[in-house]
Amino acid sequence: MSQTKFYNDNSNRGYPFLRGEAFLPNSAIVDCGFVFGPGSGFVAGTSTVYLAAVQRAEDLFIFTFKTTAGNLLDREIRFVRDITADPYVIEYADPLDNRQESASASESLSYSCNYVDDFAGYLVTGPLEALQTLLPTDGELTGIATVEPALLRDASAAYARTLNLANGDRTRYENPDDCRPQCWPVPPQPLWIVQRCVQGLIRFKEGYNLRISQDAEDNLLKFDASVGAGEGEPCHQVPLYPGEDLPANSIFYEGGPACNQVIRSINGIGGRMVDIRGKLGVRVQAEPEKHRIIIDVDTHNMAICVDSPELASLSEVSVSSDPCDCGPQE
Amino acid sequence: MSLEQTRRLHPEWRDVNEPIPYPFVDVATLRNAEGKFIPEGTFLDASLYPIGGGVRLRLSSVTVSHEEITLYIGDQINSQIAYGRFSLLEPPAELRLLDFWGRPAGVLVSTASKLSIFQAWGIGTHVFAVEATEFVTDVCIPTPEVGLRGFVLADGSVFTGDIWLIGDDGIVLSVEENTTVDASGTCQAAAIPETVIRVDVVGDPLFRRRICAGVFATPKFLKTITAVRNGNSFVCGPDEFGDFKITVGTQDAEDTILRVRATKEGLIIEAVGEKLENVG
Repeated sequence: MSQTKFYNDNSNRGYPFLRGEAFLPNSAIVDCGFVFGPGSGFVAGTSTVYLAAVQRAEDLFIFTFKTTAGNLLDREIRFVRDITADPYVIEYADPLDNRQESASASESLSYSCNYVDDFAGYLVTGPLEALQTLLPTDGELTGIATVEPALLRDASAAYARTLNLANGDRTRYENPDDCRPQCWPVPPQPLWIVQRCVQGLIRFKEGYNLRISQDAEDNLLKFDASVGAGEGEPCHQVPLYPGEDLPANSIFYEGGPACNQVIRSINGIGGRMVDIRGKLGVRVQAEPEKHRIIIDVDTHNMAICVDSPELASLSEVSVSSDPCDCGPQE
Repeated sequence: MSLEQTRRLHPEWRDVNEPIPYPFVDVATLRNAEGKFIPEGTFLDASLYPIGGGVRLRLSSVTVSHEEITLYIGDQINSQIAYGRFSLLEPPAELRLLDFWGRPAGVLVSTASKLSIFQAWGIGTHVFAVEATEFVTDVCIPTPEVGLRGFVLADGSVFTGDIWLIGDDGIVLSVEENTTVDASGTCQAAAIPETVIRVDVVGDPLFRRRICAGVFATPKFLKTITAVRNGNSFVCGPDEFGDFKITVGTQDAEDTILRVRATKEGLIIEAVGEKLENVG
């Protein structure tokens, strides 16, 4: 007994669409399939693919498929056929192919790494005569014809596609509350991107204070921080990205004064507070609101006479107008 | 040809599969050793692609609990290579399959009413042999476990897709020139391009500020002292050890009555000489 073949069967039934959803002749499309990659947001059993439109533009039929996958709502795949194409022509396509069809479509695409595996598919068309009858001139049929779920392959979490490298921002010095804010050569940001879309062979290298061990049996890479391991201890600061500049008035990328840039002791007396006392013949007068200590050697109470000049009137403390210099906040 | 004739000659896809074992092989018994039977048409279609799945994939067992039903997919080596789970009271029409890393492994197509047959099975695990529930190869997509499939952390979390490695909290990542090392250990230009990711552990000098964010107050340090006398001023900073020296001296004489002493009480500045009260 002669039997019909798969494509021939499909040209006479709704497949590859769910029963009753096709809005074009059954013969026009006999098979299709789609695969979803890591950036798609596809969830098998929930997300769907549907034929959204069939357009005739002169001698071409354009079949537009869309998906409900969360990250691909603005993407579509278009398959193009000559109206006189032979039956059972197969074509593979992805959203990037649409750029050849429409300049405006290409502008709307924003693939971060130019990868097409988020949404790709194939289409097999059957005899197109019935579709020509339905669309004898330029025009469009629209609807929602859902593709059979078993024709969709979810590879959204199936493999590691790319490595992307970044460094989180360093902890940065901040001036005291009532001082001018710290100036930075480049405004701080949460992440500093080192490299995007790394693929192919990758090697991890021990830098400063790092030991990497490998267990081939368990496919295990272990990173241990250890003082002096790897390249040893650094003799200089390590920038977060190439070309990182030091902030003004600091020798550190994170800003702030070095230990020898602040007065840690006076005449060897350290601590949070150092008492300065005037004794015989010396008066120490504090003017904290003016950030001033007057040390007046007036020889008071002493049995000597010194021709001591009158204290000249002291000028006010001057503050730099440079907003990146140290000074009080206005 | 009438619609009726068309339907008879070319029945719809799911209608074709309903009376036959599909997506199981034609010779599948659909019955296990304890007599549990999966009627033809329970599943109308399937697509199976468990990563690393071998040949002769089958529905290996059905576990029924008080709240949910779990279908396990297995091969000849691993009887639980993937699973799909659904509520006992609300069976889905399409059952999503995952492997034990949470990665997609396929879909079983059915209807809510057809999947409800498992509600009648007793609580427990019902095992099926490969002769009973082997899937046809048409629905099994080979997905070998080659290449880098993902990263697993010590806590069991799995990362796939476009993965970000972020150096933070004293870790700095950088990318170095592509190089490779041959067997003799000699560096040479990479014959096969590779990306070298360098990991530096440098710590966080301001860790206390980060850990105590919101509480930490920047200390107010003295940075310079400006000495002013007779309209002249001199801005002086600390020495290389952070110490500031106040000493005495004069341009007019080699000796001076002024003394600066560091004591436990602090810095004492005084003159030396006879006190007025001691005179006469």
